[in-house]
Amino acid sequence: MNALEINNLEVSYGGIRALKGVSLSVAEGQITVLLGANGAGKSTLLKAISGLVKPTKGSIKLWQKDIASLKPHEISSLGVAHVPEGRGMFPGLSVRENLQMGVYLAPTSEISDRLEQALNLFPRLRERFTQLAGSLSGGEQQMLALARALVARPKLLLLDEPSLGLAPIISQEIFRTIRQVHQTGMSVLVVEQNARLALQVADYAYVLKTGELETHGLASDISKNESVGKAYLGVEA
Amino acid sequence: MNWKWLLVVVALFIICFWADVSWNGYALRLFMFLGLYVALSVSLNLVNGLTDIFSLGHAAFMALGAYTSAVLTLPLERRPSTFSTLATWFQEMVVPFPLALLAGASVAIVAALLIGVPLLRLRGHYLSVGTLALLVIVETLTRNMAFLTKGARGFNGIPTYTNVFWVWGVAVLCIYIVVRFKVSSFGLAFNALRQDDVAAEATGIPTAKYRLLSFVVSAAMAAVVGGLWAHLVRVIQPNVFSYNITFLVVAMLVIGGLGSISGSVIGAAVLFIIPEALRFLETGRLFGLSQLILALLLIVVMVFRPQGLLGRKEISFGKQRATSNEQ
Amino acid sequence: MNVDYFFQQLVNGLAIGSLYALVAVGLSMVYGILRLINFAHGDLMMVAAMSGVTLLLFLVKSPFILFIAIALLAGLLGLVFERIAYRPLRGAPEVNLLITSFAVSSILQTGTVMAITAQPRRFETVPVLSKLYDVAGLQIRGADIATFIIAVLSALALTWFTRTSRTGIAMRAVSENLQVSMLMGINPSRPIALAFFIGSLLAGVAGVLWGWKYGQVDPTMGFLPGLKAFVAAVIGGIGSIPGAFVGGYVLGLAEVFFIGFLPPSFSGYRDVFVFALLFIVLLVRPQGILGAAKGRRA
Repeated sequence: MNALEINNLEVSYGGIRALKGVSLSVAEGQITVLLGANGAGKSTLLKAISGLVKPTKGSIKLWQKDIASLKPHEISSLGVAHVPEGRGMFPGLSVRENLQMGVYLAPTSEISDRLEQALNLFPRLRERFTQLAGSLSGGEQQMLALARALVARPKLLLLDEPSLGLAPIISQEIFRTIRQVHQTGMSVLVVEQNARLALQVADYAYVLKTGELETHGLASDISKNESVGKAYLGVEA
Repeated sequence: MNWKWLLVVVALFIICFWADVSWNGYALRLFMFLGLYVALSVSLNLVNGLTDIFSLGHAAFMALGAYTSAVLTLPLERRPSTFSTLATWFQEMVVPFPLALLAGASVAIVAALLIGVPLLRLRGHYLSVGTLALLVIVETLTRNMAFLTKGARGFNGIPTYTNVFWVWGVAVLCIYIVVRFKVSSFGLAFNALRQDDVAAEATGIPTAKYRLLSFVVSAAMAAVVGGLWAHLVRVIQPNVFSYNITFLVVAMLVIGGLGSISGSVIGAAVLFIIPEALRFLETGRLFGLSQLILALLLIVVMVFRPQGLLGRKEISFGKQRATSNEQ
Repeated sequence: MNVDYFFQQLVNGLAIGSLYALVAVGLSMVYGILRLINFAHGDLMMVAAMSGVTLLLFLVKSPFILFIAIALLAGLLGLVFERIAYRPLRGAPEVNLLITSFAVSSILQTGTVMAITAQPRRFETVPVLSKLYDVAGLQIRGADIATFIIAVLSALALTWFTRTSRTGIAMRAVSENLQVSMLMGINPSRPIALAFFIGSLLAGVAGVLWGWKYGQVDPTMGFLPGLKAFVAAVIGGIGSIPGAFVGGYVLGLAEVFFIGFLPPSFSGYRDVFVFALLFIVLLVRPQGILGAAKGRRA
């Protein structure tokens, strides 16, 4: 069973159709990446999955369950964690409090264990534990955002441009962590502009262009794909 | 200018003639108040409906106009006793009604400029609360400057210069002015401003100036209406131009449709007639029932039909002018 | 002008400041979580005070129970209005929320006039509160002492709640970023309702304290304090609860010292002074004392 199945999804903002009939699926336990330029509609897709925007047409199924009528917090309780564009920090809350929000739905008995694990994964956060999230650097914020999502022990992790604005070395660290954590069986859907980096960790890839699906396939195939290479990987013609 | 609208105006003035000649005093008075409310809601629409400002201070400018004009037109025989502490030349000066109204408008313009420049830096709810502060400030001033305004006791003996022609003449003028604003490049600029003032600014629209302009013009109109009001009711007090009338005019505006001028006319008519019709209910315990119903109605409208009766559209005869497809 | 007079004014300022602080905190809480300046907030305080006089006073003799009952009443009233007037408008344009809260304010005022009275009513107090206590050579009324203590305790309790409890932190999270908080699985309706409940409860507390202090209440008494609480919240930094608290005291003290040290003929202008202060703050430091420097919009 696929973790996520999207069929013919259409989303409109005002009079503009951001997504025009997109179909994709995320296989259970795999890392799927969604590539595309700015404005292609990638963020919109993630928001539709997590419930922040409502589609005008099409269906979204999480483990075969149609989530069209669900509110974002209900979708979250199904096991979805969405790290939005710009990380979505609570800037006035401390690192600890941000993480506490991550475990909002968790049973009390598990909270301290989960927090411990997150801090082991991102030691930098332990140092900054009581600091306000707004005062963290970009890389630290991304770590916090990821940690916050992970402590929820999601079954499906949605990541929106995790490498945005980060130094390459930090981006690599982030992606390494993603791959590491995914080995527990978590399904991941990553939206990325940094195609090269994303394709290194991904199992499967989709390419979105102005709201429509351009192509898709195994990550290894896509990275060898000529047109994708030219458009997104900087391969010389 | 559509000739069909000209017909409406002519018909209106025929009705005024008829009213003046043959209606009984009570009906005539109601008709005049209706005209005043129409002028008030239309002039407020210039700011609240067309720009991104939601002012709650309209009554303050009414007060300024009312008191200024009343103080100037008070008949000669009453002046020395009323203004006993003021200069002799003031005690001996009486100003003709039209000039007094203009003086009132001028005071309001100055006040709107003075207050507007700092106040209009605010946005949204902040700004609205700031305009409420205006109400308090003006009321405090009129209450404390008793040497001029007679303070809380009220200013009485105002000559009844207001008649049905004045009222509806001013009302039509207000409508004309606001319509001109709406259909002009101002109106388009206001549309942009309302939706995204940063973007509007970026395209070269002088947002600050435009907002101030609408605020000032609206204030001037309110002041003239205030002057007419004072010369109709003959007695004014500081607390007359306050919360209650503000609420009523805002309700007229919102229910008619923010941004629709014909909407505010209709809103004024509807919300004026209902309380009058229900007045017989307001005995003893039930005093204020009409305001309560109004408030409930307002909430219902906000929940179920937030754009009001007409939204931003206008009633038109025949061909629609090219207005923006607004909601 | 002597030292005693100064300290007397100081005490006055702290007493009034406490009232403003309580109302301002409630206002700020609601604004923080909904971006709504609740016009009806001051009127909630008024309803609390008026109810205290009329309804409950005949049923309840103990001031302590009266206090709690009215505070809860105010809280519940806030909840009711949140549910029927504000929640349906979540996501609607700012203007609509504004108009609705304006309408709620009108409902509270006219409703009170109709249900109770339009006339000012005497607010019964108890000897403990009306007595003058000798504190360090100053004469301080019991009611003022109680007001100050209650205000400070409320602030401490609120701070503790929003910093340690899961729900309290969730409330702050929803205030900061509604969308993301939903992604955490938080149903925003609950923290919002809670913020309304607490904010309104504080307004109710202020209403009772006001009644004890001034001995008289009437249906229009909420308007001005509500506005002044707004000024206080802006001075302190709107959306910031500690800010609103501080702002309340700043305003109370400023107002009292303004009246206290200027010739009596100026006393009628105290409200103008308050709003002049508002405009100055907005021009010079719009984010308030404790607010973070943001854009013009908060």
